[in-house]
Amino acid sequence: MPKSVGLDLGWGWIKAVEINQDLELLKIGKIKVPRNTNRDEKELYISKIKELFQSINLSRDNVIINIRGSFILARTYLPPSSNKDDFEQWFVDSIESIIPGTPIEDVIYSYELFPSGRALIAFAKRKEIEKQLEMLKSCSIIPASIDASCLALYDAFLPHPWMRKKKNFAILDIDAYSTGILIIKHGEAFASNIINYASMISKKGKERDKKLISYISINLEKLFEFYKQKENLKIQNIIIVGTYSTIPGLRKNLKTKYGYKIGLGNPFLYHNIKLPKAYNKRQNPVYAQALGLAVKGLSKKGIDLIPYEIKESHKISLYNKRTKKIAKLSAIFSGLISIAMIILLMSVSNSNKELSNQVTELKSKKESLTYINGEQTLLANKLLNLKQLTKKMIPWSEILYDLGKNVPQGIYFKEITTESRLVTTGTKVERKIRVVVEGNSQSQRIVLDYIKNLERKFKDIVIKNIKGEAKCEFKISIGI
Amino acid sequence: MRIQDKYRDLINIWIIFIIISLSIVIGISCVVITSYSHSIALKNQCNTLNKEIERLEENRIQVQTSKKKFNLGDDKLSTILSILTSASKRSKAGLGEISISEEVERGDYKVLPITLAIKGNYNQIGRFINTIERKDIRFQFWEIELSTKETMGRGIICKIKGEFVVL
Repeated sequence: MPKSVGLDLGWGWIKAVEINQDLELLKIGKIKVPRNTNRDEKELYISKIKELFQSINLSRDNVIINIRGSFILARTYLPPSSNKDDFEQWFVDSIESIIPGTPIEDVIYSYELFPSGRALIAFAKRKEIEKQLEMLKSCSIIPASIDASCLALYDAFLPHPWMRKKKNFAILDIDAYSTGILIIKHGEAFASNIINYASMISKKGKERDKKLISYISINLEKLFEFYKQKENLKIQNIIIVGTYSTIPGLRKNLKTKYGYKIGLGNPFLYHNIKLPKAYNKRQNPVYAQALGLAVKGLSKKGIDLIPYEIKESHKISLYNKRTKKIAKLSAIFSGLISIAMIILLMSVSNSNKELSNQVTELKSKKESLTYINGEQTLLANKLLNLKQLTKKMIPWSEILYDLGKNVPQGIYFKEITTESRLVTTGTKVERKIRVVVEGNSQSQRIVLDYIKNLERKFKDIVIKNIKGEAKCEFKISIGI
Repeated sequence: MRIQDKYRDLINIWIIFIIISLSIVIGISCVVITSYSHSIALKNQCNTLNKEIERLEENRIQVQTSKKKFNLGDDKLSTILSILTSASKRSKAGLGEISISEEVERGDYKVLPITLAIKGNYNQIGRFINTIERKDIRFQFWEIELSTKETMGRGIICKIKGEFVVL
C-alpha cells in the first residue's frame, strides 16, 4: 500500500509523520535540534535527521519536506486566464514584476491554480534548494517533493469547516524560533509569512513566554492590518498549531485583548486519521505541518520546488535504486535456483547413465532371445502340419473294432487285407483305401447278417465273393 | 528528455544483471528439462524392452512346453522303437520284424517309411494299433494285413505298412 512521510524541517524541532493511503497513522515522532552548540549546524541537523529516521524506522520512500527561510516567497496572484498555457505565458511575461531584481535562472518556482482563478506561486533561490537537497542526500533521503514555508498547513486543514465555508482566517505554527503564518482567503491559501524571535530563546520561563506572547500578538496585529489595508482582507479567526501552541496565556491574550476567534488545531481529527490506541492525542497540533506534508505526498499535487532536472535525475536514481534491489534479489534467487537445478541435473544425468546402460543390457538380452520368433514360426508350421495329419489319419483301431464287433456266430476270418489305389479328383491325386475281409461262414445267411451289421458303420461295402451255401466263403471289400 | 536518453537511462547495469541472472536460470532450466525428457524416454524404452523380453521368455517357455507335449524332439528312431515296444507291452501283442527306411520328402515335411509285423489275437492287435494311434499322431498307417496263414490258425500275424512323419 502506498505510504507518505511528511518531514517538517523546523529550526527548533524536526517532526515526521508517516501515513498510508487508508489515512492510517504508521509512525510519528520529533527530535529537538539544539542551538548554540560547538558543532557545525549543518552536521548537527544531518545527524538529527538520521537519528529521527532510525529511531522510529521511517520509510525513505515518498518523503515530502518543507523549507523555510527568507529565500522563500509564497503569494497568490490573479492571472488574466486560468488556462494552463495562457497562465504560463503570463507568468513568463510578468516574472520581472513579480520578483524584481532576481534573474530567472536563479529562481525555482512552482504554482497551484485554485478554483477561484487565483494562482498560488512559490519562489525560492535555486542555490538554497540545491543546498537543502545536498543535505538530505547525506541522510540518504531523496525527497519526492519540496513544499514552501508553511503552505503544508493548507493541506493539513483542508477539511476544516472554515475552509469549506470559504472563510478568511489564519493558521499559526508557533515554533521555538519563529511562527509561520498562512493566510487563508475565501477558503484558499493566500500568502505565507514568518515572525522571527530567535533572539528570545536565551530567556526561559514565564518571562520568556510573556514576551513571546506579546511579540507574536503585536506582530500578528500588524500583519492582519496590512492585509486589511492592502488586500481588503479582514481576519478574525485563527487556528494555532505547533510545538509552542500551548504557551500559557497565548490563547487567552489573543481572544480577550484582540478579539480573535481561536479554532481547534487538530488536523488529525478533520482528516479522520486512524490513530493507534496508545497514541497521545494532545500532541496532534505539534505535527500539523508534518501531517499536511504527508497528506500532500499521497495526493501528489500542489507546490513542488524541486528543479525539473534534479527531479528527473531523482527519478533515475530511484529507478536505479529499485533495480539494484531487484538485481540483488534476483541474484540470490537465481543463485539458489541454479544450485538446486545443477544438483537436480547431476542426479538426472547419473540416472540417465544408469538407464542407458540398462537399455544396452536389455537390447542385447532381447537380441539373444529373438531366435524364439523363428522357433515359434517353425513350431506353428509343425503344429499346422500335425493338424492336417490328424484329418488325414485312418483310424485303424476303430475300423478293426467295427469289423470285429457284432460278428455273428459262425463267421471265421481268414484274412483282412488292404487295397490302396491312387485316384484323381479334379487336380488332386488321392489315395483311396479299401479293407478286404476274407473268411468262412456256416451259411450265406450268417454272412448277410454280418454285412447288415457292417452297413451300420460303413457305407461303401462291396461283396466280392460269396461261394457256397453251407460252409460259405466270402470276400467283402469296404471303402474307408 | 529524448526517447533515446530515456531508454538509455532505463537500461542500466542492474537491468542487464537481472536479465543475465534470469537467462542463466532459464538456460539451466532448459537443460534440466531436456535431460529429464531424455530420462523419461529412456525409462519408456526400458519398459518396452522389458515387456518384449517378457513376451519372448513366455514364447520360449511355450515353445519348450509344446515341444514336450507334442513330442517333437529330434530323436526319431529311438522315439519310434520306444513307442512300438511300449505298445507291444501294453497290448501283449508280440513285436516281429520292424523295417524303417530312409527319409522321404513330402512337401513341407519328411517321412520315414515303416513296415512292421506283430503277432497276437484280434483284440491284442487292435489294442496295439490303438496304443500307437493315441501315443503319437506322427505314425500314419495306410496298409494293414491280418492273416492266419503263417500261424496255421494259432494267432494272427498283422503286417502294417505306414510311415513316421518327421516334422
